[in-house]
This record gives sequence, C-alpha cells and structure tokens, in this order.
Amino acid sequence: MTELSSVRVEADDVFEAIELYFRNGWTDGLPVVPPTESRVAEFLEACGHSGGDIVGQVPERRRTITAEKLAINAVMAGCLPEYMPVVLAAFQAMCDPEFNLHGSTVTTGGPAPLLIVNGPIARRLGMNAGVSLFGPGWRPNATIGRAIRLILINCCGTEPGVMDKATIGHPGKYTYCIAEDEENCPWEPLHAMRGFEAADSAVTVFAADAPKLVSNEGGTTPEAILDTIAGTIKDPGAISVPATGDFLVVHSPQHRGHMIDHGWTKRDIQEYLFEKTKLVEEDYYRGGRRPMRARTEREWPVPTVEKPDDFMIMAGGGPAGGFSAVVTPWWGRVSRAVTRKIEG
Amino acid sequence: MTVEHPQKLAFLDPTVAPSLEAVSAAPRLESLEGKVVGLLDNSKGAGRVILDDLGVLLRERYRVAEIVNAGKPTFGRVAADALVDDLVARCDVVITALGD
Repeated sequence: MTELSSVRVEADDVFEAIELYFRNGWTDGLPVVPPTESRVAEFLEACGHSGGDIVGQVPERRRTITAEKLAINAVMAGCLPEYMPVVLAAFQAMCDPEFNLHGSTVTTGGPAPLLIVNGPIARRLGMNAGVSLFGPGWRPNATIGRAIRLILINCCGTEPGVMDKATIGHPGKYTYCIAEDEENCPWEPLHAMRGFEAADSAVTVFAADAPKLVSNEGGTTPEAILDTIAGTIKDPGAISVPATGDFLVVHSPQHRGHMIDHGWTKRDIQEYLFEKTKLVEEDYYRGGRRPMRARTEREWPVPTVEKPDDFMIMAGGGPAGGFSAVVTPWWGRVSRAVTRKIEG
Repeated sequence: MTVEHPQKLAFLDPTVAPSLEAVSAAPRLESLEGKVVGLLDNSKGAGRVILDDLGVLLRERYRVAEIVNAGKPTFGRVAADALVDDLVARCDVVITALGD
C-alpha cells in the first residue's frame, strides 16, 4: 500500500468523524464521507499515482497539491475510485494558467468551475447527459463536481467568505459537472472540436455563471431557435458581455432535432451565433448598465466573443421540451475554458 | 447503556497548507522628498482616479521627485513578474489602489 503522509485525526466512530470535519471547516456545508487510509489508497491506485506525486500548483497561494490530497477529497465527496481519472484531469486543467484558478475562485463575480465530460469514460461511469442535465440524481456527476469544490476549499485555500468573495455566487458552487449526449447526437463532440480525438475521453473546465434556460417551444427552424439564444447571450446583465471569452450553449434533443433536420452542424450554429450576438451600443446600455470606466474609443458593433469557435456547442438534456441552455463565462479572456485528456 | 470503543478510528486530514517563507519588510523611507513613487492601478473602475489625485498630493505636500504610473492589464490576475521587477528597478516606493 502507498505510504500516505497526511496527518491522522481520530474519532470514536464515523458519526463523530463527520462532525469533526464540520468543526474543522473541511466541508462544503454538507456531511462528508470520512476518508480512511485504505479507501484513499484504493483511489490512488485507480488513477495510477503515488500519494506524493505532485498533480497541481496554485502559485498565487503558494500551494502544491499531491495526488494524496486529491484522493482524500474525492473520497470525502462520495466518489467511487473509478471517478479519480476525471477528478485528476479536471483539476490539472484548472491549474493551467489559462484557466486562472486563483482569479476565478476569489472574485466577487462568483463563477464555479463547470466540468463537461466527453468520450467513452462518461458512458462507462454512467454519467448523466440527458434528462435534468444540471440536476441531482447521478452519482458521478454529483460527486465529481463536489470533489472539485472540496479540493478548492481544502487544498487551494478557497475558504467560502474568506478567500472566496463571491457577492452572489450560484448553486453550481456545490457541484457542477455534466456530460455531453454523444450517443443521441450525430454532431461532432465538444472535445473533438477542441482538438482531441473523438475516441479520447476528455474534460473541459469552464469558469461559469449559472445556466440560463432558453425557452422556445414553437420555433422549428435553426434561425428561430438561435435568435432566442442570441438574445440570452446578449443579456446586458451578464458579467462578461462584451468582454469576450467562451460561452457554452446546450441544445436539448427537441431543439437540436430541428437544426439537424435542416442540415445544420455545430460549425453552422457557431457562425450564426457569432453574427447574431454582435452588440451595438444600444444593446449594451439597455437596461441601465454603465461601464466601469469610460470606453470612449469602443467601435460598435462589438462581437460578444473573439471568434465563432468560442461558442462551445454541446448536446444535452431530456427528450421532451423546447429548451436550450446558455452558460455565460465569468470574465471573458481573463479565464478561458481548458480541455484536457482523461488518462485511463 | 454505554458503548465501548476499544480503538479510535483514524481518518486523513484533507488540507494543504501554504508554503510560507519569512521575509522582512523593505526598509521604511525617512522621507518621500526627492524620491520616485510608483502608482500601480489594478485596473478596476476608479483606481486611476484615486492614484492621479494622490500623485498630485504627493508632489505638492511631500515634494516627490517623480511619479511612475503603471497599471495591471486586468484586475483578474496578480501583477506579472515583469511589471513588478520594472517597478522595483525604477521606484523607491510603490503605492497600489483598487477603486470600484
């Protein structure tokens, strides 16, 4: 068994241990599974790491994170050992400077890292990509996302209210993990559009606001559906508009069915949204929004994103209902979505 | 009824402590007169307004020789090493401000 170096804490029984973890500030406000040495060792084995292997760093906070600490927090979150490769790849993606772990988890803007899992591992683990996509009920979605939050709190110093200064925040800060519905959609999957093989498993991490539901039950053409979505993307109250960045658009089976029937691909959707989300001055100022500082030199129209590829399009959601979802980014280019291959 | 616990159960600490090193504060200046003062704006909305006014006061009241204005490209990231090194090389003292 791997030698584990973490300090041991003792309790008479599991219930006392759960309370001890609360008292020590080691939870997200919900009870955790108390991590035993043997369980943590199983998790390490599942991702092929020794406890002492360094898996990430947060230089702004002078923290070096080992596989052992990742495994401990994954156990606490209620994961199974086979989820570890996803937790590991997601955390490593978050340590990419492009993601800006520090900035995106201290900010008053209050985003949460959204994990989008693609490839065979999502199906092997039984991840939900369909009905109630962002909702409860599927262990891998719920616990992998929760593991990331516990890692942020316990390993990265993101103590709520202390380092984490979100003004409002959102419920995705408990857990925020979905999979793409690759089985029920002919479109190219998200990770393939971002440079990976479709046969690979990969996770995309995205510092994201809460999902916004876009309802268009009557629309039966790509243009009608996408015009409604474009209106939601151009929301003047969205923190990132028009600072540019990445947006996620999730199309349910009903919406994407209409687009597929018309021969539209994800690329067609990206191009259309790029044109339809350019902001003119009155878009920006409607609703009373004012810039944080004078922007006298801005030339309108301003694209919401830098290039069509920055709209991440994915298939997800349940079979009934004319709905899509728009997930807005935290602060544009200051944090970018990062995709990383899941090994194992 | 009391339950006997012949042996405590052991669990693992999930936290990572920061690796801290003790550093001493830079020597304090006796006076600002004739010194070069850097004013670092973190790029929030009103940081520059505060710093510009401060620069005027520093010259008028404290006879500062020179003001070096600098700004972070975004408040969403810490200052880059190159920016910090440049200010260290050029300034006797640096003041930073965040103004929303």
